[in-house]
Amino acid sequence: MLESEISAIYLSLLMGFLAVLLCLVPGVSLAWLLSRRNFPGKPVVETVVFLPLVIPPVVTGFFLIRLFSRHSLIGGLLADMGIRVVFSWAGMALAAAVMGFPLLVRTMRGALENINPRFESAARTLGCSPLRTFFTVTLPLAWPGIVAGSVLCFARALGEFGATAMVSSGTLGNRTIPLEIFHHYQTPGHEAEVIRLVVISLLLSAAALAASEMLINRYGASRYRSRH
Amino acid sequence: MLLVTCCGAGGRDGERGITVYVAASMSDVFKEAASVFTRESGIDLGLEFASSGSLARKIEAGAPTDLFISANKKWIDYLDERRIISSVDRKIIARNQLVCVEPVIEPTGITAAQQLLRAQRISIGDPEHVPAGAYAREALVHHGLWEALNRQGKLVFAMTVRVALAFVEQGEVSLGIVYKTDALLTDKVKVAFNFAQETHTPITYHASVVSGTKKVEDARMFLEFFSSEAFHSILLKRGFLLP
Repeated sequence: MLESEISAIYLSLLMGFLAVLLCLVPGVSLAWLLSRRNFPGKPVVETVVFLPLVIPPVVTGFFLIRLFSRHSLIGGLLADMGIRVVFSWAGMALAAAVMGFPLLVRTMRGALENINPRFESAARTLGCSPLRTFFTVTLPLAWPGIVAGSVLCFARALGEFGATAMVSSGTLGNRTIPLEIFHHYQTPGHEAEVIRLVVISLLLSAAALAASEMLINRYGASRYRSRH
Repeated sequence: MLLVTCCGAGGRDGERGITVYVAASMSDVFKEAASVFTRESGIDLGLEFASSGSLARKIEAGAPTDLFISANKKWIDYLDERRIISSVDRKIIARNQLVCVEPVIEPTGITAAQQLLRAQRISIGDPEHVPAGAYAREALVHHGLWEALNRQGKLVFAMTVRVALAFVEQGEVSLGIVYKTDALLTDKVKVAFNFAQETHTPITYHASVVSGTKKVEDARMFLEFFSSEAFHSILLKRGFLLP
């Protein structure tokens, strides 16, 4: 296996984890907000959050480049701090996170909406603070949705091509698995590399799914059901 | 009466036409050359533009074309070995140059290859499958800069040479290595310096008649046209070099 293939696997996994990390807190917060509260402009927020899900990934990539290019407002500020987004790992992680965010929020929101609000009310009447209620009642009940949302985000990041292709520098060590596959696909005589990476990609996704099943079964609130 | 007119309109045996597959980097040249040639000879030209590699793959699979223009000697040799194109009716029709370009909005002040290590980021086509990128790597190796630039992470590999050019246009990289003819297409970049011919394999465009074509004579006529004054002036106007 080539050095570039190994680095592609490492980079894909890294991007996957970083994407989930970046999305988790804002994602859970936003999912809770959208499921529990109404506020002016809510439809606008919902649309913006779900946009990366429906527009072509290259379009998202285009906007990322425009937003974070050295000559833009945000990109310029970051550049002064020494952070480069375009053609860096930061940019690729950001692209993966942006693409995975809607999936994470959507799944978590669904889980949160399915929780019977009586459990939360009961906890509050018994004296739990909102925060404690969230961590001890809401979260365990929504756990399967949170895990599923994170896994979807992770898988989406693993498979992300369009936006990542635009912000990647394309050199060795900067190609994720999809980019590496495309690279070898275009190079005559590299069929073996393509097949190897395709198989590895499938195995990684299957492993992610298996891990999510395990996490849901071991730590979810479904553990508590048998007691009632 | 109606039947006669219909039959008359249907028959186009009087028209002569050939199909030509052309490497994408020559699309502007060929669009112009086609109108000149058709006017002079009465032969219609059906042109299709794509990357040399994908065109070669199509021809190998039996696509009905009469002439093939490749920006890459590798692909025409590939077809030649398989006897898919004629080894006899084959010639070099143009050459190109490699240049280093910089964004007009952010000049670097670099005027020679030796100074490239000062640059922040340089975009080239991916050397493994973009011909322009392969030439760029050769030139950088020749100047002893390839290892250093790679180690310092200063290179950006673009999927095509036009994407490499786009990065320079937007000012996302400080410099780009592209064909001279690409640089002339946009006024957002200017040439910082040219790469000398001896720093890379000659960039040659090859034309060949496809074996088994029924329009051999017409295809040969177009092949002859590539040696004409008219074609040469179109080439020079767009920044190509004569063969």
